[in-house]
Amino acid sequence: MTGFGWALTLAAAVAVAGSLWRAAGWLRLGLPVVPSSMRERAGALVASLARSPRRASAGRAVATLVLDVLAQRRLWARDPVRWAAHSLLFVGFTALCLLHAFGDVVTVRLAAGYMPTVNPWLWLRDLLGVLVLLGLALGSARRRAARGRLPAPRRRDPLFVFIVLGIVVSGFALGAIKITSAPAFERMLRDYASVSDDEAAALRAYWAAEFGVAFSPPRIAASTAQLAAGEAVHQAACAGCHARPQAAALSYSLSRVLGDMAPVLATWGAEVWLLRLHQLLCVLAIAYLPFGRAFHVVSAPVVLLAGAGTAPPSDPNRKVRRALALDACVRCGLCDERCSVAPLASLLGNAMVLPATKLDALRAVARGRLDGGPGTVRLAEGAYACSDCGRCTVGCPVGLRLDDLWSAGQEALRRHGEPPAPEWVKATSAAEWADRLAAGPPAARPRLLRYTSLTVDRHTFSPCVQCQTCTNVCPVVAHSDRANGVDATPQKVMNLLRLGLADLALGSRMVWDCATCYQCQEHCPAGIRVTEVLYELRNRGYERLGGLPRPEPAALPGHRAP
Amino acid sequence: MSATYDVAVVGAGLAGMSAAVFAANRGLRVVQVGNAGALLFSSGLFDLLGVHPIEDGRTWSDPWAGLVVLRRDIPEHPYAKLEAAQVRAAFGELVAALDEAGLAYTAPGERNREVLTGVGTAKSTYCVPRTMEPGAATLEAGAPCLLVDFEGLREYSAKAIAAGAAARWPGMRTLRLSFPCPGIAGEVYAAHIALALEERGARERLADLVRPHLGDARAVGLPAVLGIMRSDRAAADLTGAIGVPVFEVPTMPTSVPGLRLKNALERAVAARGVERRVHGRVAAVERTGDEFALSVAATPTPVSLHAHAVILATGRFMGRGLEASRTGVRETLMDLHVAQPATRSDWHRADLFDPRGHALNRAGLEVDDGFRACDARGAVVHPRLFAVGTILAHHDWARMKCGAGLAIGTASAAVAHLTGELGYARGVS
Amino acid sequence: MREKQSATMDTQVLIIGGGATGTAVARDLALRGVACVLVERDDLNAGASGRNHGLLHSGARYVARDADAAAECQVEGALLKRLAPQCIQDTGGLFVAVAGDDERYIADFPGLCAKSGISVRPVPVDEARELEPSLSPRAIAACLVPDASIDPFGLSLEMMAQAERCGARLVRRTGVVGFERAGDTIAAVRLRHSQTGEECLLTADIVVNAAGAWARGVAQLAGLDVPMLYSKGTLVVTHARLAHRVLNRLRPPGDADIIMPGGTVSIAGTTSLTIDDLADVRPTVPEVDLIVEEASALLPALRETRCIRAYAGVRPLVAAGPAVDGRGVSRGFALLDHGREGVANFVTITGGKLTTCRLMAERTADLVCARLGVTMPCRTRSEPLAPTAECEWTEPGFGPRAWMRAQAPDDALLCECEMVSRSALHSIASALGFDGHDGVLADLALRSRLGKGACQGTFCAVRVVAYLYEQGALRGEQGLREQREFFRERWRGQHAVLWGEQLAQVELAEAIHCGLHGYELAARTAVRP
Repeated sequence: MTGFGWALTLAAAVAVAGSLWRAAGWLRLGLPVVPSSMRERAGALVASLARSPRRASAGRAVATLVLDVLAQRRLWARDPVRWAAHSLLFVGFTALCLLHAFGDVVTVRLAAGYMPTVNPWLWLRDLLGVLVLLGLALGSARRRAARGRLPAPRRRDPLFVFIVLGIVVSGFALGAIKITSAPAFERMLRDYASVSDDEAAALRAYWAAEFGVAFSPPRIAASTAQLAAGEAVHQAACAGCHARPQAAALSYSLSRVLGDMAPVLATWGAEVWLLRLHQLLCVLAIAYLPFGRAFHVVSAPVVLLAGAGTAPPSDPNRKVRRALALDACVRCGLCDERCSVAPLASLLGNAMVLPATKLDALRAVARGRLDGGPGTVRLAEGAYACSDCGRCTVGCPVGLRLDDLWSAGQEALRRHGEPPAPEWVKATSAAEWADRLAAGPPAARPRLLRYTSLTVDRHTFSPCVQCQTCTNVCPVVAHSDRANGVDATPQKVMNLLRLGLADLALGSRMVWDCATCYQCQEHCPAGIRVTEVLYELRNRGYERLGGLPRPEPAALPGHRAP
Repeated sequence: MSATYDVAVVGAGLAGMSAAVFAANRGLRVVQVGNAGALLFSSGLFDLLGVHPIEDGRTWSDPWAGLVVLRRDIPEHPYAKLEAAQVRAAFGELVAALDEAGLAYTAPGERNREVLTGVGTAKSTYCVPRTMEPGAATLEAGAPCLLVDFEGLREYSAKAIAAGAAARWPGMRTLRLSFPCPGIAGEVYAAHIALALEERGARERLADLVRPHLGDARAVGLPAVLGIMRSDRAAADLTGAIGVPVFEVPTMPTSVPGLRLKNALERAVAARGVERRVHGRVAAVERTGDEFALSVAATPTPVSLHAHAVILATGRFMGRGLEASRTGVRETLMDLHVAQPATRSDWHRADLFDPRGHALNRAGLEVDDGFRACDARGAVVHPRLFAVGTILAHHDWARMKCGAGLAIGTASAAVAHLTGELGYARGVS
Repeated sequence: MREKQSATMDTQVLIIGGGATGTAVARDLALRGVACVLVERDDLNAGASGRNHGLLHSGARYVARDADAAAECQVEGALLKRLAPQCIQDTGGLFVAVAGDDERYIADFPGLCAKSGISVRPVPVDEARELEPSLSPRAIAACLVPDASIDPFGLSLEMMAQAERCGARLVRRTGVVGFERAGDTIAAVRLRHSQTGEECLLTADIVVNAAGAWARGVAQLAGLDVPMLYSKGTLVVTHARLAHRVLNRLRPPGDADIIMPGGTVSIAGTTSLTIDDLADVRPTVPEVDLIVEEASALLPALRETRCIRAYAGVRPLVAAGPAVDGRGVSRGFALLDHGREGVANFVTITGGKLTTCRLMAERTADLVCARLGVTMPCRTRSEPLAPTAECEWTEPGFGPRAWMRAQAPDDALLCECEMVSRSALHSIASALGFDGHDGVLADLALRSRLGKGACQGTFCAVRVVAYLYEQGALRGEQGLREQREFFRERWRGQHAVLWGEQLAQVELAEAIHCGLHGYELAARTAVRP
């Protein structure tokens, strides 16, 4: 086997092994709900797969395959421009794979008389390459136009783009070199044409004039008679297996650009090197399949097809789905664009608020890499900023159940001792928080200035006549369990503010249990903005209490010892 | 720009709500702005006239007779601009509207009733909610009664009431219950008990707790916590379960009957197609041509309303209809003339309970016989600008015990005059 | 300590007057082992001690006109800070001048302070504004001084409590109505209970007249005269605290020069009106207006702030010669030994200010002990004022902090404005040995923050009365009477500050008290001495 053959085999092995390993990860890794072993998961998966054809979802599966995987109607519905870019890439590259790379295996069987040098294959190959370039260009242009509007960029996969671009560009370059290559001409002449020397000379003249082969030294312009003779030879000996190179439009244009460089390149053996490069990139592409963005080629269809089933996922299956979702994210960023709390990312300076970044972090969580350090804290902040609006889930073109991922992520954080702020605040009493604030470093200038106006302005609470209406209409107090319920009422919080004891209110359960139903504010006869005061206290509390040492994880609700 | 309303009622207290109901009943297109202000503090009792002259502390068991004397003694009192028949009809109309909205009042009659208060004094009032009626009846009969209170309802003590009222109402026994109700640190709140008592099971449990202690009591008195939405049903249920009439005792704020009244009035005006913009403060009222333009400061964008007539029912200092600085009182919306004492030193007397009352309480807007607002010279500011309720001058509603009558009566009169004016205005425009 | 009305009492020293002076004397004597009885016609701090700024003077205010008083304040202030920290909030103070103030005074001020030993530090106005953001934009000069805020109620209560623990006795609601002379000594003192009218006799070796503004009246009962000047001062209390430090006007002392941090509120004042009659002294509208106008030169926010009450007290000033106005008279105290006037065992201690109460007591006790032949030296220079459990509730903010910390599941708050819990009131009532007499609400209010908040008793009085009935401590119509009197008493402080939001509060109060409960009708028939 040739070197290329070995490389190809090796790459294929890597691709297969890597894909299998990733797939195994769907069974091994995952975010918690209930623990389950790999065997359980595999069994559940097999069982549900076995079930689905019987549930008459075969038709649906086919429909999903055609509409969602191939035609990508979900992406079309969400972002036509992206769909166009992706389709150009998808169609171009896939067709190139099938018709060109595996032409000897695939196309030969589909079309009799397949030869890479004849039309339609010649111009088709070029066209497909152009499609890929167009797709990349469109995608790049869209990104540039949207810069500034989009949230902070997610982790890119430049290698993936480099490989794809490299394959196509090297392909065009190869074509261009081949077209102008005199050694290639001589080789072809030697191997395929049995002609006399005169005929060869005429052929050379013809090829130089018509197709731009760069002989060295360059031939003097031939006479019309010689050209006519050359054409005759061409028709007899070459034309049958060789379409006009002009059909490969881009390659041909490129070859024209080479000009005087062509013979030099030919001497250097550029054709060989380019071919090696082209082959190397193709091999890399195959080996890269299980890694980075390339894997979405496998995982996205699996997710789309798996999502087509009607059976509600059992717990073990839900875990598989989650692990699958972590792998199948194509990093398109549509979720970021739709996230309703996205502005918080720049306000808090925390990219973890954004779904795509959060998903990346959850990958690490699934691998057990929650370490309680600053990264975990930032993830917690981003995870709990989520408003559960579901817009990311609706917007995902691959159909990932992001809402399920987020709740699993929150559960994982909780188990690690990172519950949402209302829970860790309530684990310590308000008076203790006030003590810690008093003992701690002086309060830093508040980060979010816009949230500090109400509670520090005396005029907010000065109209209070102590009528207790706010407390009476509060549903949280109305349903508060005496033993574990709220430790203050809205009226008491207002009085704490008036007495200059806001620090005592910051950690109080009332502030953190407030449902923001606005009953208090709407009923207050003095027009006091009670709800907004409570919420501002929550924001201030989050800032100030968050800077203090946390309660021990074991003391937090929902914590399980790791 | 929306179409012009017939009348904009500014204020959603008792006077404003009454005006909205009356105007809607007469087929006018009404928009109501402003908030409920002091309405929430209402005990639920409607006063017509309790005391006159207040300097003598003379109480009246026949308020209508008292009205006659008051009109003669204080010709500038708003009551002097009202006819007895008109006031009767207004009360009847409002009580009917409340009944329709699910809040029943005993039909007002000829005499005042005596009602036990939450501190043990007796209050004279004209119109009593159905849930408080048995209390008035039992007090009048002087029959033995059991007073129940709840552990944690801090402002209400049956012992205190019984002790305070012992001279007037002997034979009262008391019972303290620990009502299973959420709360905080030994405190329970009236509205939460009321909410709990909306549920039949809770009422039955309460009845079970009370029945063994009934003894010879002919009625059982509770603080005013018998439900929020359907208080009549709650009271009737309890009466049936316990076996003797159950009545409510009016409480100080937070007053559940006040909440009920507010909710019922809101239902009543909504049912009559009155448009409400109540969550924004009216920032300004301007006259544009022959109309009024009100700008309501509401988020996210201010709202502009147009009406042919305006009824100001914005209340006094609590309701923000009037505002007092150290140098004087002004009317907050249109800077209308406010009749008031010369200086702040004259506003209040040295003794809180001075029988003459405080001069500032009589400050307010002056109106003509048609309840149109007047300027300092007594000239009408605009033929369709009316003022009703406690914002008016020359009354002392808390001392005279005439608050509800003032609100309802003046609202009715203003609407009657308004309807006449509007006929003219509509004809013109 | 329960007050017992026995037919005759006997002790070594009788102290008349339960203000800061009287209680300090009781403590000083008790610490020296002298048996004493303090009789007070009303309750502790009924006079100027309960109606002042609560300012623990650094003395800087008096450096120009009364350097001795200034030095005295400096020394005593430092002592009190060390010995009674539980009553003191060491906030520090600022003297601030605004555009138009006397530039000479501003320049001389630091030097004058230094001469009296008062540590003063001039600071740039920017720095002052950083310390106090609400400071007027027209401020032109500022100096830091060691002023502090003192809780005068806590002080007197604790001094009396410690005195009682050392054997002293407090007899409240009992006034002196006559002295029985035997030659040149007072043989016995006739006392009368101000509520019941019961009379009794007390015999003592020495009588100390510490009756503050009423000292003259008491002395006259003994056939003596103490020429005094009565200077009325009014103060205004805001709804919430405006500044962290004591703010003084950097100019020759005048009206409305001071804005005190009173824990959770600010107290602005004061005025100085010479009066003749001590009856029914109350804040007036012109005084309050003057204070708000003048003091807002220091803090413009004062003009827009809700004021919840005002109060007025009478400064007892010893008239030494023809004094023109109250401020010209020395704030220094006077210890008068009436032996020179023919009454051998009668001593008057008057004048002075809150800051120097300990010193006044020391001098008085020294004189008394010399007479008695007691050689034990004064201990109050070194003996700390021991904190007493039920005396801590007068400290603003203490109640809410204690309540939120305890999180007791059944301890309801009876006063919401100031967050005073049932257990707090219970501990106060227990210490008082409540026996069902009238005035229990006033007693509780004096010893806590009850009624001092935004609602001025409208809600808490009802709750406390309900609680007292439940405890069986009130009977019959007592509760109604208590509430009526309580509201009347709070009204004295309301009357002059009724504008803006406070007026709305009072409108609600009158709606409840009169409109719903009809107290004004019952008042007509109420019998209350």
